[in-house]
Amino acid sequence: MNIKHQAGLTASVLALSASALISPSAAAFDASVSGFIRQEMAYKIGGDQNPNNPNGNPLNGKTVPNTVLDHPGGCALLDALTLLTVAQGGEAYGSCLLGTMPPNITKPFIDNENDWNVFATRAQIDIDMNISNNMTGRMQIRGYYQPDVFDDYGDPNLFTVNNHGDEATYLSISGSNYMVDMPMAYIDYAKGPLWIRFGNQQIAWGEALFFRVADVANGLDLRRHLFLDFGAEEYADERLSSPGVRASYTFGTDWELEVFAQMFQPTIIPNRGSPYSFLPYPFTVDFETGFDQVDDAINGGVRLQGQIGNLGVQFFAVSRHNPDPIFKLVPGNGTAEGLLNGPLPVLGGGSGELMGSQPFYLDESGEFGFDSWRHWFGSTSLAGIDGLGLLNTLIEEYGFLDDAFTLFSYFGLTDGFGDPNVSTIEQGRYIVDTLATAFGGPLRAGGQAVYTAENIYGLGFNYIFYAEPDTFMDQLVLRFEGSYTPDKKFTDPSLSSDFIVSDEWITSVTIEKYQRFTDAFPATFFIFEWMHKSESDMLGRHLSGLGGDRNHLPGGGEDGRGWDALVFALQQPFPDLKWRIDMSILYDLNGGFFMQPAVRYKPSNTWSVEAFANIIDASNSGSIFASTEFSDDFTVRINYQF
Amino acid sequence: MHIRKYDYDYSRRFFMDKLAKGTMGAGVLTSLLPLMGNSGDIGQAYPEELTNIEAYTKGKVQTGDIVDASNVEFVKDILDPVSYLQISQQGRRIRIAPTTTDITELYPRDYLEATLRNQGMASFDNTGNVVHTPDGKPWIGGSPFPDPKSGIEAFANMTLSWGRHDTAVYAVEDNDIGPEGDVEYSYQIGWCEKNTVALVSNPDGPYWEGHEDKLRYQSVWFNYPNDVKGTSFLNIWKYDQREFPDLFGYLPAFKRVRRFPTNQRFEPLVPGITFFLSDAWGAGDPMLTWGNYKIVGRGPFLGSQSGSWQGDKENWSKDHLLHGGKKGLNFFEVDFQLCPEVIVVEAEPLGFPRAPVSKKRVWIDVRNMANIGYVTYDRRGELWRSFETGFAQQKKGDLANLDAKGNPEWTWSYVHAMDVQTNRFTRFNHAKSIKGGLSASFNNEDAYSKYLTVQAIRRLGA
Repeated sequence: MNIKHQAGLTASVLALSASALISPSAAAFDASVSGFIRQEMAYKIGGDQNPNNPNGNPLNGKTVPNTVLDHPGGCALLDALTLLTVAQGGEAYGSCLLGTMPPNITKPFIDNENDWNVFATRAQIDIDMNISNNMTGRMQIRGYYQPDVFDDYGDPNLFTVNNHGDEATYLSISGSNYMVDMPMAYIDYAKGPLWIRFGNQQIAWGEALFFRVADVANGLDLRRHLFLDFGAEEYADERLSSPGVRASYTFGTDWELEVFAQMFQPTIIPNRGSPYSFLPYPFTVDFETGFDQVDDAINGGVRLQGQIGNLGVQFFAVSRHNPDPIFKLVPGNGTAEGLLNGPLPVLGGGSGELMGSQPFYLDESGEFGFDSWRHWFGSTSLAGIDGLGLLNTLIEEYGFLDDAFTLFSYFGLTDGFGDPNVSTIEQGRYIVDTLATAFGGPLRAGGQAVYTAENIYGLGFNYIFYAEPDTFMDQLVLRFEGSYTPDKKFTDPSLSSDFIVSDEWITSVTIEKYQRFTDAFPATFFIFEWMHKSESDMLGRHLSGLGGDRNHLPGGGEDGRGWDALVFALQQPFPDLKWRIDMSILYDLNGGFFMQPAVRYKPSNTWSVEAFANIIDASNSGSIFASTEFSDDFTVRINYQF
Repeated sequence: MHIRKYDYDYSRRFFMDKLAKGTMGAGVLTSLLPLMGNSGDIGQAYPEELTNIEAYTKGKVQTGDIVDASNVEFVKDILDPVSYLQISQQGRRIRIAPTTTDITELYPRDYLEATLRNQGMASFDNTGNVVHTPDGKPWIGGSPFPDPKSGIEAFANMTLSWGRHDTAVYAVEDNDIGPEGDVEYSYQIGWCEKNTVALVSNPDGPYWEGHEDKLRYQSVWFNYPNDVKGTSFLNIWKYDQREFPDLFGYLPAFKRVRRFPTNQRFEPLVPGITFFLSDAWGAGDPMLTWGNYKIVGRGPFLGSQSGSWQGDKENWSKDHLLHGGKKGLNFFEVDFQLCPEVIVVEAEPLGFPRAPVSKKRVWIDVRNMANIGYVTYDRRGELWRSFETGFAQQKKGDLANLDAKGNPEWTWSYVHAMDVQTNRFTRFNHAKSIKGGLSASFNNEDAYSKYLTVQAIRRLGA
């Protein structure tokens, strides 16, 4: 669907909303405008670069031995392929058995050193309208300009995503370095216990912060500062709006029934090569095709919440297309010269497929593609992909590669003669180096985002304890949320198009407390949260793909344990609230933490400054922070509001 | 020559004697309450030196005069300590208005009628809560103790109905001035309160059916500036004054309503403001979470009980009255009148062990039980903060904001709140409307669904 079509549809929804409900006895129209301008700067405080980008690849500029030269069978295979290539008029590049083939693989050194994670100017304008006694409206326009201060590889486009034409969201225009969108453009109609909101809107359910248990209506926009912005704002800037209708009806004084229906809007992950890109650079994802298959889908949900004495409860059910994409490989349409373009000669006849029918193709630049097993297993494990399983998926789903691996089997590179499958990481190393050597250069791959349908059922409660004043238990808040998603689909760690389907349970327990330690300062706010997910981590990666690294396959027990994380945060305002210090710590029990000390200073009505450090560490690739631990930064945001 | 039947010392001796003996009925020459009910004119209850500033000051200050640093010493004894400090040291001016003797000018009409109608019917039950004596049910409207005999009775009058209307929506312009006299912060605040019991204008009686276990719903939300816009809180007060209200809050960053604990009531809601929830109406906390109520004084007092409504100005603005402070931006020049008799009550925050406040002292005008002076003391016993509220009929010349029965409305008009230790100052103006299209109103039938539910604060929060 092109952007004009989408914009027109949205405008129609708004117009319909307005025409149907404007009261003939409308009160005087009143509008007010406010907004702010903010400079946001996140300076990296470590020298590390994003390992998913070419300049941050641990192998950048490194030379490693080509292991296939140590494998007699592999060596013979390469020479055989060389002979066949020469016989077909191709050019020989050396003989393995004669020792004239280059013994090492060298990844070119890319000397880009990026000092910034964010350096942007943001402007936001809010227009509030009082249309009639029962109707109000709100429009928010957000502009974000990020000049190209990044010393990055490939001059990536930071904002353009081809969901809606070239736009990521329904109401936006963007370019490589800027985006302008409308996170809010809606009309409220409220009469008695009924409230209806029409238009482009965010919907946030639940009470757990950071952990999204009931907060399942909207995806996230991770293009700016990923999810590493000022912790006290949670996902306010990231949660994605989309056109829809939300209605709520209050029963008596304690119960509210709420429903929504909203046009599908996928989560937006950082673009390839951008500062926070978290997919391997050789992996190019097509988001448009997957979105086009569900772009007319409507996500909907219903929630009942209320109060039973001192117990607050909520029950919810959501039927949606998961805005968070899952991935599969798709044919790369690559070509090779001579024999390697296929069909490959295998005993008994092969599939007859050509090289272009499978996902991999040659990286013409020679700079960033998979060129060695170290790169292959290192990058895939960082992304929660099982590098060895991926090889077997390739065999299973792509005839050309089945043929190739069968051919390899004749030379002892696989499980057995005629058996294309591989079972050990050692086999995988030879296979990858053989592939890269045989194709004469590093490889890249094509993938596709898929948005799958699912139903989520959940409940939650909150309870405030009362005890003797000034004791720990007095006014302690306990919150619980849980959700159950039957037959949820996950990216298969081997990137099979046959996704993992599994029931997932998610729970969170939150304890909150305001405690005044001294009469000189306002109360300190503490929050402790525990989240458990049965099948995937906080990034949505299936646990069975976690825990691997360059030398190990995944499977360190993550799959059986489930995923757990703890949050501890505090806020300490100063007496006149001009200053506030915050501390947020997210600890991933798989081995990693994120810590954000922060200070907020608001010296006047118009100016405020927030400064915080993001300190991230991961002890292994099973951690959700493995792909972001490079990004420690010190962020300053200077706001002027009007 | 003006001959006074009762001299200044007479009333002073009278009040001291009354305080010492613990006899508490309001009025000096005669009881106040019967006059309120019979004629509506309370002038006969007090000698002239308690109803005429000229008589009280022996001619040194007259009605219509401006009291400023040059003459404040003549009225020092009848000002609260913060007002005195402001006038004597910070350039504040007040204008002396005649003492209001027509009781109908000191109340919303329905509330006054309920007060008179229901007098003598209130008592405390064994939990300390006010009940309608004949049936033990919640209070039925008006001031339960119009002639209070104790500090807790006086506070019950202020607590059970804050704004003296069944429902009120206030549009509040807030400006917060720093020690250097600059307006450092400005907020536009919506405030809505709706009693569920003790109703005085409800045709169906004193109770909102199904809500008898509560006292009120109250919400506060911010429409300006941008960084706090949408921040909103809903308090649901239980009738049992030993319990804290339920608190729900919408923070724009979270985009959702969350339930909060509610015992932190001695902290500013937003940066720069010199106002705590505990300050509201001089009785911002459930009555029985405070204790040691005691009457510590009785006598005349200067307070703002009339004349401050600026209905002829755009949006009821008082900006033309600004003066004082280092930049001339602190104070509204408002009318003060000699209030013949106030009860001075002190109380301690027993239910808040780490409260920064050690006690509050409130000056309550016996004519209408309004808190016309309020100061708090820190834990060292040093004077800390004030929360001066000015009340007035919304009437100016021929211009008036009328209630449903055609009577001029009566409500608060402004607040001056000051932290004397940091010299930070907050002023509220009760405006006609604020950004976002919110207009002040009373007994608005839609108020509950528009402002006082979890759904409503989510909608207000955007």
